[in-house]
Amino acid sequence: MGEPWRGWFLDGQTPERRAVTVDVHASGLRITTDDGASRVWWFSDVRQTQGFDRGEPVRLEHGDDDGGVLIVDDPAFGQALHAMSSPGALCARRLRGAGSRAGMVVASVVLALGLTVVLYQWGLPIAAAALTAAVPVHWEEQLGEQAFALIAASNRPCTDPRLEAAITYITSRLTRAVPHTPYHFRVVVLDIADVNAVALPGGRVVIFRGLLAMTESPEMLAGVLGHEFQHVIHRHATRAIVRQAALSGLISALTQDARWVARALGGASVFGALQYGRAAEEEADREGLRMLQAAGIDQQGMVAFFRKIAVDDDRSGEGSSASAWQRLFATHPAGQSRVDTLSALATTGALRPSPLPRSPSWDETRALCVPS
Amino acid sequence: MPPAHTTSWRAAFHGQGFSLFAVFVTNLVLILVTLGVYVFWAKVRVRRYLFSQTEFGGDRFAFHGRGAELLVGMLKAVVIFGAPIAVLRTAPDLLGAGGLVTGACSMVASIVAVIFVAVAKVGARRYRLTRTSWRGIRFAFHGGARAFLRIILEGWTFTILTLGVYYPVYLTRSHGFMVRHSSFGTARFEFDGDGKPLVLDFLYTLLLTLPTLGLVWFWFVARKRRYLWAHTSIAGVRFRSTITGARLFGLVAGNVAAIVVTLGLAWPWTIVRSARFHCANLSLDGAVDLGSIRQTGDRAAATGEGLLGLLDLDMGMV
Repeated sequence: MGEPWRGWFLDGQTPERRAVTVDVHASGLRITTDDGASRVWWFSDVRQTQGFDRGEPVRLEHGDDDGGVLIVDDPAFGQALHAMSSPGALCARRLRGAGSRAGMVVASVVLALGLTVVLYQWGLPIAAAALTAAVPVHWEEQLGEQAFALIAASNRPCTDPRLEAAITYITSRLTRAVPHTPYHFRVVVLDIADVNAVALPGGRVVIFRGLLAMTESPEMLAGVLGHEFQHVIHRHATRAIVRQAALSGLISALTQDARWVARALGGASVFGALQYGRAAEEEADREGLRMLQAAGIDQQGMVAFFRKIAVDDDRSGEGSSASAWQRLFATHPAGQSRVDTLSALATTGALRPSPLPRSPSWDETRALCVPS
Repeated sequence: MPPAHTTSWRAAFHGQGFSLFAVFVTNLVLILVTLGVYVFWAKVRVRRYLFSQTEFGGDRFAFHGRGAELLVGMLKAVVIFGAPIAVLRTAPDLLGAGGLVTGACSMVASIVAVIFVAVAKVGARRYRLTRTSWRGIRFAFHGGARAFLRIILEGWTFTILTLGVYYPVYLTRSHGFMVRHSSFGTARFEFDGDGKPLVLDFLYTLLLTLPTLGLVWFWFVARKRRYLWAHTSIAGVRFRSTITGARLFGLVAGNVAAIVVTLGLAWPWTIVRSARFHCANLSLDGAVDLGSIRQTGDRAAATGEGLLGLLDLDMGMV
């Protein structure tokens, strides 16, 4: 019990404030209005809602909402309160000086940065992998169809039946190596001049005319298809989409936006997802080779094809002529290191490959996709 | 301590940039630790700080919202409103329908979206006002979504028909709706503007946009704010705003420069600076007789607030 304090009292019924005198006791406050009427507030019924910053009046609220408010301008009142009451009862945060707050802020900044890094490096990939495992194949197929509709809208497919037959044969040879896969592989050649191929979620694979024209043998195309099929089987595209959604959710949460819920759900943009990353590409290379071997197809075709691509990229200067499509689907790092890895892996395996059909000749077959 | 009835009826903002920065940073840590769930409580903390640093007539505001309310509101919004929107978006694909059905669905979706915008804005305002108090008395909002929707539809129709000339009138009507249905305890806010004096200014502004490289808009926004405040009153006393285009430009330019130079870190300081600016330019033209005002028991759910966030319309702090 010390000197009485002067303050204002609001009764929660009218906005008029009344001048009061406040006495601080061991377990509560006695509030006396200037006309003599007084009331007692026990600390257990009181919450402090303002007065945590320097210079801020102390505001105490009693009971549930709108049960009476006490305001005392003198900041020493806050300290007296905390000295008197037990910490828990008064929702106590001691009046902090600027010094200790600065320390807390620095610690928070460091912690925030650390957490962000941890979440980005490890949290995101783990979450993406776990969520991807839960995505049904049916959803992947729908996603793939939506993406394909967008691509095929402005690009004509090459539908020559002989070309389709050749591709269907290669596809069936390859899929014999994975009899238990839930995916139904459909390969389409689109009339796009770029040298590239895209594996969409759910099993649809798009080969660009430019790539087809670069293949010199059916084994080369089989190598590319094997690689793309492995992207499908290992769900690289889906994982990229999930990771993208999680990343945009993380970013929104960082900006303290409650919309992160909506963003994370809707952030699964179909196209942003087709950047798989190096690990995924290497996995597709490795598993693609294995698929070729199990299917009895000569692995050297795949090696030779990527060697040819690497040479041509060096010659033409990759990036200088990169079209919009290439930039969008830039999933295939070319380069000599990749060729070296492939040729090292391709020497394993004991089965003798059985050649793919060559009638009509492959030169004829690949020319069946006529540029429009 | 100043005696009660001679307090100047002005607004003042006492917050500090560093304190708000501290709030943001601790929020950030908690959001990351809780993988995002804390974001609702974070919003409440920020609002509570800003409101408790805003003073009017010698007393500070208080914000009574709770994070759990915002979380529940968002969940309800997702279920009640998000589901129909999602269905309308994906139905054409799922049904494998042709262009006509898809077009019809997206048209219906647009209409539904406009309705939801009206519902969200009205609901959010009701939630925010009922969670705000001054001198222990809560604010309230009684406007209905239907009436607001009509204002939106009429506003856009006339704006298009008049090639934009009607726009300031629509803005005024929309603002007037929000003000007229707001109340402080038993005292209702009043609004008596019709927006017509702004039409000519709006046209001048449109004409001068290119020659002034857009700077004329600061003048118009300031003019519009002064007009809207001047026609707002409570218990017969009018508000007054002293914002000018030049000062507004100074505020925005300074804030933008600060954010750019500090790569965004100065954001809390710019919020504080803006709050101080707006408070310093707002006052009441006289004293309000507080004796006749009483508390009312209005409360509201936070679904509108959740929908506002879901539809990406959140205007920020207030």
